[in-house]
Amino acid sequence: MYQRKISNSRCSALVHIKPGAFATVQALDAISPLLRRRLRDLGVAEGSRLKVLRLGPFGGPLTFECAGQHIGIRREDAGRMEVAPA
Amino acid sequence: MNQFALFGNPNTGKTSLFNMLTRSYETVGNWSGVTVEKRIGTLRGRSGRIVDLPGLYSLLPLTEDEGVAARFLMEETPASILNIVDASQPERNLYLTLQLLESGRPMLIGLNMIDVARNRHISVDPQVLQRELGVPVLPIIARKGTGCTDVLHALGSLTAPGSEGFRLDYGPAVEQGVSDLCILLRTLPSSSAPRWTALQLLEGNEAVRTALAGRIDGEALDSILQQTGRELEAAGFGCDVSAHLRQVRTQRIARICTAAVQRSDQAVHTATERIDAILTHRILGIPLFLAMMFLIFKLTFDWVGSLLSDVLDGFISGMLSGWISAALGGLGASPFTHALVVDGIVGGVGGVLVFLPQICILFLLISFVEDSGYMARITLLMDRTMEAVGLSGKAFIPFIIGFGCNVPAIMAARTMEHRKDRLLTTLLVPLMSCSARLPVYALFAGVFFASNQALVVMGLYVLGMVLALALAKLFSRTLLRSEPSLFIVELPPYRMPQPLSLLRMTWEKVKGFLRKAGTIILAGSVVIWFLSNTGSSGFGVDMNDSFLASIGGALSGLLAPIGFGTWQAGAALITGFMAKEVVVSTMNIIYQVPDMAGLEHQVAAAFTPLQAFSFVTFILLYIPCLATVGVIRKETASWRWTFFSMGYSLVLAYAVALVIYQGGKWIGFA
Amino acid sequence: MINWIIIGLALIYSGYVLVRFWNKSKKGACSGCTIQSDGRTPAGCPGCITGLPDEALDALKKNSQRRRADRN
Repeated sequence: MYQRKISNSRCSALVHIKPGAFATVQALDAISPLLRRRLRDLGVAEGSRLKVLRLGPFGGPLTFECAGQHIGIRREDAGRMEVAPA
Repeated sequence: MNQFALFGNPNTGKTSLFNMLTRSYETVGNWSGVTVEKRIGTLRGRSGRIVDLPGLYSLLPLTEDEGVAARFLMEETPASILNIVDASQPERNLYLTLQLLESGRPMLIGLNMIDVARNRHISVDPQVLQRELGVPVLPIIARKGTGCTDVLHALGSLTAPGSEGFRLDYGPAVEQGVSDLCILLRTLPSSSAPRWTALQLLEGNEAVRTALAGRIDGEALDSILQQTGRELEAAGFGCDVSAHLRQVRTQRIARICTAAVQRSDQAVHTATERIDAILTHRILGIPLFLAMMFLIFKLTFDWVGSLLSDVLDGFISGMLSGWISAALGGLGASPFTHALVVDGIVGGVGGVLVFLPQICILFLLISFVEDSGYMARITLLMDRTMEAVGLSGKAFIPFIIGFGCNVPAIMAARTMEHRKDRLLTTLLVPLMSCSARLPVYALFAGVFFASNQALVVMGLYVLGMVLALALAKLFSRTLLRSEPSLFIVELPPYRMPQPLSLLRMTWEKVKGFLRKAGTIILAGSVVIWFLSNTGSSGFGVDMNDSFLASIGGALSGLLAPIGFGTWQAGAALITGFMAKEVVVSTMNIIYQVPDMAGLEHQVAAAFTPLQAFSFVTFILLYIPCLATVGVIRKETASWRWTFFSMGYSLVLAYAVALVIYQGGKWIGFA
Repeated sequence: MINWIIIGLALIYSGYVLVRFWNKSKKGACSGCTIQSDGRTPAGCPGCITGLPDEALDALKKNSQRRRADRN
C-alpha cells in the first residue's frame, strides 16, 4: 500500500531501503506540502544523503539520519519519498 | 530600556540561555516545542529585557506557536535580536539566521552547543562566520553557562549593521519585485526593514500579510506578486517564488559553511544509537515504556513517597497542630475559632500537604524523563497507536505534560500543525490524570489497596489514557472529520540531565503546588468548614443538617447507582471542581479527624473497596477543574467546545463508574 | 476580640483568593500561579501568560482580536 509508481527505475521509495543502508533524496513532490516544508526546514531536500536507522513497531514510523540528526516520519510518508540507493 | 528578542531553531537551547541570562528559571525540556508563548525576563544587571520566543525553523509560520515569533518581528518596536545557532547543525540553523539578518535589526549570534558539535567532530569557526554574516558571533555552551557573560556584555554594545550589512542577491526578477514592493510599503511605518517585509510578502508569509491587512493596497500587492512569479518563470527558475528564495539562501549557506565549518567523517553519536536500538526496539519499546512508568509509580508510592508522607503527616497533625492549638489557647480563642483554624484550615490544607513527598518525587522523575531526550522517542513509539485513532503522535507530548498539570498541557497543544489535532488534544488532555488528583488516589489507594498502590494508581493513569485514545477515535470519526494528521519528529541525542537543573525544574513545579495549597486549597477549606458548620438553623448545627449536607445530599440519589450515594461524596465532588485536591480537604473536614490514620479509618468505614475504586475512577474523569475550563475556553475560543468538554467527561465518568460498580457487584465484589 | 480578628482574617483572605482565582481562571491561568505578580511565569506552567507585562498581554490580545475579526 505504500508503493507508488516511481518514474526512474534507479529510484525507489525510502520505505524500501533496508535499515543501515544509505540513500540520496531524489524528489519530495509526492509528500504533502506541510510535511515537505517541515522536512526542508530540517534540512532534508533533494540531494540530501540519508541513512535509514530503523522501522517502528507494528508499522510504526521510520527513523532516518540526515546530517547528524535523527528524524522520524510515518512509513506512509516514507513511501512517498523518492530516493536513489547509494 | 533595551529589548532583545531570542530567536532560534527548536531545541537549540534558547530557554537554557534565557535562564542563564535572566536569573529566572523557565522549564527546560529536551524536545521541540517546550516554549509555546513568548515570555519576557529582565537581564542580569538590569541592562535590558529579553523575550524568549518559541523555536522556529524559518519565519514562514507553520504552527500557531511559530506565528507568535513571526508576528513579533512585524509589530514590536525596534528590538535587537539574539539569534542562537546550534553549532552541531549549522546548515539548518543558518536558514533562519539569514532571514533575521534581512530584517536589518542589530543582531548578535550565540553559537551554542559547541561541545556537542565537537563530539560529533564538527567545528565551526566563529571568526569566519562573523566575517561572512557581518554580525558578532560568540561561542557558548548555554546549558553549562559557558560564554553567557560575554553574551551579556556584547548585548550592551550592539549596534545596527548599517547599509553595508548582510545582503543576499536573489536575481533580477525577485529584486525587481522587492523594489516594487518597497515603493508600495514606503508610506508605512514599519519596525523592520522594508526589504525584509517585501521578501516575506514574496515568500507568502501569512503572518506578515495579516499584520499589513487594510494598510496597503491588496490588489497592487497581488499583482506585484504575480508579476514576479511570471518573470521568474520567464528567467527559467519556475514560478514558485518561495522555492526560489529558499534555493538562493540554501546556496549561500552552503558557501558560508564551506568556509566556516569543518567536519570529519567519523561515526557520530553512537551512544544515542545504541540506546535507541533498545529503547525504540520494535518489540521491546512499548513494554520498556510501560515498565518505566511502573517504576516511576513504584518509587513515588511504594518505595519512597509513602514513607516520607507518614513522617510529614506525623509532623503536621502532631506537632504543628499542637503548636497552633496552644497558641490559640494562649490568645484566648473561643472553641468556634479554634475549630475553624485547627479542623478547617490545618485539617483541610494539611490533609493535602501530607502528599507533598509523592508529588515531589513524581515531578522529579518526570523532569528527568523530559530532560533526557526520551520524550521524543515516546512519541515515536506511540505514533502508530495515535494514528490509528486519528491523532498525531505529537499529541502525546501534551498528554505527558498533562500528568503534571492539564493547563500547560493544553497550551502545549499549540505545537501541533493541524487545527483538528489541536482541538482533539485540548478536549482529551483533561483525561490525563494531573498531579492534583494524586492526593485523592494516594489517600484511597493507601486505605484500600495498600499492598499494590503503585499498580492501582498506574491502572488509573492507563485507564485515563486508554479512554482518551478511544474517545479520540470516536470524535475524529464523528465531530472532527477532515484533515489527515501529520507526523514528523526530531530525535535529539540523549543526554544526562544536570542534577542542578533537575532540582530547579522540580522545585518550580512543587512551588506551584505549594502556592495552590496556600491559596485556593486554604480558601476552599475555609468555605467548606463554614458550610459544614452552618445550617438553616444557624451556626454550630450537626453536620448532617448543615448546608454542605443538603448540597451534597441533592446529588446522592444520582450517585447511588455508581456506589457512593452519600452526601459526603457528593459534597466532595462539587468542591473538587475548584481544584481536585480540595476533594481530600473536604473529606478531612467532613470526617473531622486529627490525622491521616484517623481519616483512613473513617474512609474505610464509609466505603467498600469496590465503592472506593468506583469513586477514584469518577474523580479521575468527572470534570476538568476550573482553571482547565478557563484555558480550554481561551484556547478553543468557543464556549460550545468548553461546555462540550465538561459534558462529555461527566457522562463518561458516570458510565465508567457505573460499569465498575455494577459490574463488580455482579461478579461478586462487595 | 481575638476571635473576630482570626475569623475576619480567614474570611477576607479566602474571599480575596477566591475572587482572584475566579478571574484568573477565566483568563486561562493555572491555579498554581494565581498569586504571582512579578514579571515572570512559574516554570511549572510553560504556557501561563499571566506573568507577562501589560504591553505583551496587549499585543496578544490584539492578535486574538484580529484573528476573530479575520474569521468574521
